[in-house]
Amino acid sequence: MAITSLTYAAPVRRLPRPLNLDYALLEAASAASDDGHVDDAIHKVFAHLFPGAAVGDLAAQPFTFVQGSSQVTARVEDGQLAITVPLVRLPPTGNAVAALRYALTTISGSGQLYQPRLRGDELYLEFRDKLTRMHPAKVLEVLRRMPVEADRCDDWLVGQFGAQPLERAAIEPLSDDELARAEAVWRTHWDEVEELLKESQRKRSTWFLNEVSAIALFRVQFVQPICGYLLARISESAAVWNDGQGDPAKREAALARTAREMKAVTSAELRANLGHARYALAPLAEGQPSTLAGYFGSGDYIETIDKYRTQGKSFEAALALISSCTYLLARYAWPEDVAAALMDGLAKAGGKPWRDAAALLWDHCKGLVEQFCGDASGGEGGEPDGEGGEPDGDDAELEAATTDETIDDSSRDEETP
Amino acid sequence: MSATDITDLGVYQVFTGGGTGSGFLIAPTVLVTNCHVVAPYRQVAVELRDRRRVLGTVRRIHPQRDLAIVELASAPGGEILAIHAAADLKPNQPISIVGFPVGLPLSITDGVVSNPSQLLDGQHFVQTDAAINPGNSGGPMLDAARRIVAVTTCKLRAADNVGFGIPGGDAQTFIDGFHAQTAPFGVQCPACDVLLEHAERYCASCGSDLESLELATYFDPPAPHPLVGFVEDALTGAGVDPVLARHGAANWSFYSGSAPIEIWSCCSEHLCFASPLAKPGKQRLGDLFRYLLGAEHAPFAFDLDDNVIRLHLTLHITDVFAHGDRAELAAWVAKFVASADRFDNQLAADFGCEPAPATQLTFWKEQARS
Repeated sequence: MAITSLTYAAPVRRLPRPLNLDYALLEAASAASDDGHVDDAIHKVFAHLFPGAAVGDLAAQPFTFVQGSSQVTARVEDGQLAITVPLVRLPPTGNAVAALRYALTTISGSGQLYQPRLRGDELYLEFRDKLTRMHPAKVLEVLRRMPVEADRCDDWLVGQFGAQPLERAAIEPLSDDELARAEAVWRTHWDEVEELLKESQRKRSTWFLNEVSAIALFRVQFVQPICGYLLARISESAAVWNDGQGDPAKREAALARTAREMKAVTSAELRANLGHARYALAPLAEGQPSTLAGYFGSGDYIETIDKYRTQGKSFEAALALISSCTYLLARYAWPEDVAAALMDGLAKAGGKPWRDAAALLWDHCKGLVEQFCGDASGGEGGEPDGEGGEPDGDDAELEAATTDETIDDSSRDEETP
Repeated sequence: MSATDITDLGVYQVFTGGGTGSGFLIAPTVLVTNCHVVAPYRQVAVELRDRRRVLGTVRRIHPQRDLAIVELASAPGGEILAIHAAADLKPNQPISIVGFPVGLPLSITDGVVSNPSQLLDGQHFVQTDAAINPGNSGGPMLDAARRIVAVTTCKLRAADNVGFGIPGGDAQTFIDGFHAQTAPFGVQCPACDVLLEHAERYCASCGSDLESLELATYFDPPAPHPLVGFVEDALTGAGVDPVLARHGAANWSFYSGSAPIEIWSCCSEHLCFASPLAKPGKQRLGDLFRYLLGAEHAPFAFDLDDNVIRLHLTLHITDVFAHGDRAELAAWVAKFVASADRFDNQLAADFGCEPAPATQLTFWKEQARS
């Protein structure tokens, strides 16, 4: 029997709040750097990223912070800024070679300022460079990206290759009540994903599949305080099934496999991968009024939803609105009232037939724009691209047939008369 | 024509700091290409079949007719094709386009003449349905008798199979003019074709206002972006001719001994150096991986890209602007160039690694990824 509604569950995860970072500090850091006051510039970057934290003289006292399961240490030594994250200790088995290959293939790479480093049997993620080259933009980039990368990799190394955790940050376990609720939501979620996937295969619509895969991923991220290897597994497989440009058949197959595997996860396994991790650096982007307006104000995406809603495709419309609200809650840190309003919409639509859910959420989301967006209500939106029209003769352009990857093409285009 | 036929043609790939294109020999050391392939550069690189590069000096350009003549430092060899100047092409006549589409090795595509004299923007072109892709510019369009009937120049972006070539007659007129002149460099007036040897506001011959046509940039090319300046200064310091290394905008590729080296800017923040060195062997992989990750290689690092060991270095864009450290960073570049040549041999000797299959495709893939 076809799925007739989606359940809603309040998050077990503790929703992060915006950190209200002081961007004036960042500008002051740039000014200090331009004036040659490198130490001051670095200090201001840290003060910007870690409001309220006591960051002293890094040469005298290293600064350590926790990002999920990773423990990051920044210090100044020998005229260099060194930032280090212990990842794992290599397993004593043949898996060590696989773990090292993974580090070389996935963690090391060009285009990043930090690299993995093996010290004895211990694998670290490291950045080290002269203080005189520490422009605030560089420090900011390393501090923002490196801990996140470390948090992403260590669980995979442990779960996949049997590596031993190394100086891992403690993660607060869930209470029994939280755990029971999380497991119930987990089971329901993957059951519903399987049902939605059947609908997707029946409808043969990439747009619908995009919404299903978004719900499959973002509802887990919104509701569950998930961490560890399970999160790494979902993230890896989601790279296939949540890729809107991918082959739909492959995406559906990958999502079906993931749903099957996630349903088979045992209670003990789930317990080991749930916990309230601490994040010194904001793990999510700060939600802005323009973000809300981009989804629900105007643009291709909301217009497409409206078209579905008014043309008897309530299932598509409701699913898109649910996935959008869930995505916004999973990927952004919102002020309390905005987060509450988004969850309120989902709660009201939960368990309602598609038509009712679509009507209710449509009004609710439009209300969110009116309530929170003000002047930003005309924001650009539109996940799905609009259909391109036929080019008319007046717009036809001549394209010079040289190769060029980075120069603006318009510099070499000519218009036909 | 078969694949072996085109290999011997005097058709070569042209590289600048703006992109790549194609060109064909009209004499042992003289090559014709498009103006938009070479401008505003006065020196370009021309790559031979064995991937060695020859320096080319731009002698003439005709911005309006989109033609350029490049004199090469040495003769690359290859068959010099005759230009068919007569305007006797017929619709539906078979035509072949030879060049380097999307930077791939020499390729040929076939089609027919769609219109032998299509009027566009006040000029006549040979229109064809043969596939034209970025990188084909400046290459020859050949008839069944292997005569150059047009010079590939552009295509309609918003249409399928609508490409254009500059008629052979126009190309021949341009070449004849070059042979009759002695100036080392000149730009032909877009209005009257007279040769301009210096940047002038008004053409002395026809009085046209040349400033609006931005002719001055051909005589006095704009200064390179500081990032480009940094890389090219550093390469010069490392004993590498930056002109020969150019591979499009903010991209360079060359060999250091047996090691291919690629330099590119992957985003607005990073300048990347990479050298695909070797493939891991079948034995002692643990030792090899421990060496790559555990030994002191800073500021360089190794990674595995499609099972190819790469030496790489990433600089932040702010490093490039930190003038106090430019000398040290330039020394890193020189060390990178030298280390790449050393490491590929060392990895083979110490760990049984195999040579890496370095192709141009790896370069394009890297750019696509970024």
